[in-house]
Parts: sequence; C-alpha cells; structure tokens
Amino acid sequence: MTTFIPSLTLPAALFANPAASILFPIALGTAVGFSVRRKLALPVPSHMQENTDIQIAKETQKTYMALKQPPYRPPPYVFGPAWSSFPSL
Amino acid sequence: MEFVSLPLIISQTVPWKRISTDDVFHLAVLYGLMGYSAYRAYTTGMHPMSSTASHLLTKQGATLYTIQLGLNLVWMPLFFVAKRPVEALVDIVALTGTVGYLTYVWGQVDAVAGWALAPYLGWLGFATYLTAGVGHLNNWNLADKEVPASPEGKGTKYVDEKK
Repeated sequence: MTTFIPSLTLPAALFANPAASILFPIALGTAVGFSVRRKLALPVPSHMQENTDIQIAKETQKTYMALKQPPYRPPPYVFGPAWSSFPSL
Repeated sequence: MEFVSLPLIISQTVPWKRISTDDVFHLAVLYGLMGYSAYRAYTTGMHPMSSTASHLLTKQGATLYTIQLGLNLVWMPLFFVAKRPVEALVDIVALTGTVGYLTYVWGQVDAVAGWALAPYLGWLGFATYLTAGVGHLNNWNLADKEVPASPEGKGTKYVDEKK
C-alpha cells in the first residue's frame, strides 16, 4: 500500500487540466529525446563545418550503437511507410 | 521531430536517423494516453461527490504517476548516454511494476483511466524483454558498441544478427 507523498507528486494543476495533463508527458519525453540525441552526435567533419547548422538539422545522427538484437523485435515495416524514404533500408 | 523515449529505439536497432515521424506518433499516443489517464482519474476521483476512499486512491495514484514518469524519463539517458544496460533494466522493471500498480489503483477510481494505461503497460512489458535481451546478447556492455554511420548515410544497416 502506497501513500500520497506531496513532495513526490506533480502539482494538481497538471492533473486537473486536460491539455496540461496530456501535453506534459509528451513535452518531457520530447525534451529528453532531443537532449540524448544531441549528446550522441559526433563532431561535424572540418569540410562540413561551414554548414554546421544544416548538417545538424538534416542528418540528425552520426553514430549508432551496433547491438545484437533479441528475437521478436518489431520489424521495421511496423513503423510505417515513412521508412521507405530511406533508400538503404 | 525525432522524439524518442523508451525502448522503441531498441526495437529499431538503434540507427537513430531511422526514427521517423511515425515513431513519434506511436510514442506520442502512449504518452498522451498516460496523460489522459491522469486527467480522467483526477477529475473523477477528486470530484466533490466522490467518496473519501476515492480521493485517497486518486492522490496515491498521483504519487505513483509522478514516480513512474521519472523512471520513464531516466531510462533513455541510462541506456543510450550512460550505456548502462543493467541499471536500465532495473529501471524498466521498477517502471513496469509501478505502472502496473498505478493501473490497479487508478482503475478503481475510474475504469477509463485504468484502460488508458493498458497499452503503455503492454509496451513496457515488451520493452523490458527487449532491454534484457539486448543486454544479455551484448554481454551487458554497450560501451564499445557505438560505431560511426557512413558518410553517405547509406551504410546504416541493421545489426548483423548472424554474428
């Protein structure tokens, strides 16, 4: 049985307002996603540095983790037609 | 927008550039349902006409909800930045347990609030499996697994699973 711990609970306004309650976790998840992605990016090569902003904006990620995967991970087509825009699929 | 969170990314073999707007949509739905559940439970349970027991359950759930949101947000930095699959697994097991209990608590307050958490709970179960599976298959060490994507962006392949 848990108890109500005020110091460990979000303010009531984030529960009482529908827009706030729905958007709050989406906003936090987005913020964490962006910050993690940025940390993983490698430095932009010198010959590309003039276009640094463009590179960052367009290419997103320069590295990825090559991990062995367990069976039954969802195949890429589950995530929809947008994937077909990547020619290397 | 390439918003990510929990192990959806693992399921994608982790070439990050492949996180598409569709993934954003899936995750936003889970997060949105999570938030909607909070709203439902709170407005039903804290209604002046609701019982004292219902008020209590709602507030207990609000604490659980806050804890699970923290555990949720910590998972990705743990796995992808700190590269600590063991801690990430502990985190997601605790997260799944917390959300399971939250579903039980808020489900007593409002059935819709409980069901709104069901997809999230199901996903967490699967994500726990993926975290454990990836950790096990990679000897619980991700520190040396990061590789550069090819300059053309064409070499970003799925992991060679035959190795």
